[in-house]
Amino acid sequence: MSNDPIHQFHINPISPPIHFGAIDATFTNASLFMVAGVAVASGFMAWAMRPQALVPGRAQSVAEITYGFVHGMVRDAAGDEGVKRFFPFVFTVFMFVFAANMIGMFPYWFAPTGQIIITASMALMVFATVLIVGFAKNGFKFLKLFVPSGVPWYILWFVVIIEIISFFSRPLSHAIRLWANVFAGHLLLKVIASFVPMMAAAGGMLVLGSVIPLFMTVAIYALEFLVAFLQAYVFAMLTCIYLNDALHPGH
Amino acid sequence: MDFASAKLIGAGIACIGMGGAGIGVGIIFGNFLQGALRNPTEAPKQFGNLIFGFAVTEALGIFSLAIALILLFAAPH
Amino acid sequence: MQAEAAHPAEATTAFPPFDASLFPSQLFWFALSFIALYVIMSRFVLPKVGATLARRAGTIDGDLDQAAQKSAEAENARASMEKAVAKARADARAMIDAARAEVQAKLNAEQEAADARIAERIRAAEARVETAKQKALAEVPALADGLARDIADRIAPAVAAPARQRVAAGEA
Repeated sequence: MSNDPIHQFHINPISPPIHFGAIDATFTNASLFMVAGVAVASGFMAWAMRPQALVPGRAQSVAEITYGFVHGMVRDAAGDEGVKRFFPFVFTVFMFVFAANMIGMFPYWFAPTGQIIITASMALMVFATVLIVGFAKNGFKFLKLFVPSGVPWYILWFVVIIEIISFFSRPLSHAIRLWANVFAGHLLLKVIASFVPMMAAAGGMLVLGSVIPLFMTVAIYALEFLVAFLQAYVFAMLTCIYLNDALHPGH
Repeated sequence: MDFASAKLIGAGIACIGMGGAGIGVGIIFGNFLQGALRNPTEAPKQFGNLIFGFAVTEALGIFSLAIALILLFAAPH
Repeated sequence: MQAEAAHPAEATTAFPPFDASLFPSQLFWFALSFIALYVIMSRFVLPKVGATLARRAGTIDGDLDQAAQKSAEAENARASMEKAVAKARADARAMIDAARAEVQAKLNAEQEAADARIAERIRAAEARVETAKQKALAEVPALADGLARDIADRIAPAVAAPARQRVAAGEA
């Protein structure tokens, strides 16, 4: 079973079963790596910002660059009002996804973002925030989001239907994009890496040929590091774009 | 046709979707290069958009890859 | 999928991401860790980073202001120095002009005095020449008379004497 590529996504309890009433809160390996990711992310940020130096050191520079990166992302997509309201939220989303992705890159560790329930929770959280803030801020003017201006009436009904469908499919694609990237990347790595012992065990010329999947594994590993960052960036970016709709529904 | 072969065929068909993502990513990078060669000084400012468009497009290919992998490894036997 | 097993972890044959029996524990720990991260970030880390960046921006702005102020001061000092130099130059020029004018005036006055003296002397000399000329002219008739008498006496003494008498009588 060691060659089963799905094996890395299995969730095993590492504590005795914990139940809060009806809620199953058993501490599993998924929980462990989620908590570890949060601990690493917040621990690093807090540690790096400890000196609060006027001329930053290396760690503080990294923390400040991360801050500036997300800050610029929110400002570009959602304006200054978006920064005021949503910056901590977007920063948390970005840090969580990035930390979870990166912690999943270690061999034998677990990628929390490879579980669709986690990405779906975050996507639905963003979706609910957009709906709540959108209606709270704009009232029924929020529905203008579905009615683009400058479209003749005989196409408008069709455009509105498409807009509504695309609006409600956002959390789906938002969640699946991140999950599928992490999941497929890890699965691909495992599949290609498992060719190495398979070919080595086959004997003959195939033993020499087993370096090919080895190099491929290394190359795909590098690509997966890029994907881990890029998907965190894209997830946060899309979050900003969706939140912008809540603030400025008129196109 | 038995279930196992249907699964494998389905996984193969799902992988066709990745070709579309490949075309899309090629269009994105090709158009970026075209624009960048016309106006090289403005090109670095669009790098974020480039990567964003690449990631969003590439994700669609990943969707079909995920479907294929699910069919191969995760579908009930 | 053998969902309602003794514990979700036993469902090893199922596909874990789609196994609904694994969701509650994941959701619980996700909510816990996400909220913890949100609180840590929004309460402690982000204000700190923001404050540090703002302080740095403030310091840089302050330094730039100070530099601008210093450079303005230097500019002022340069301007006042230039003004002083210009004033000193103007003073010097005025002094030189005044001295030159004074010298010129003195020179002119002496020149005039000298001219006047020379003119005076010329006039005196002319006057002397005039008187001498007058005197000489005054002596001319008598001289001419005597000369004429002498000539007449020599050429024609017979005629001359009575004529002389006649002249003298006529003259008388």
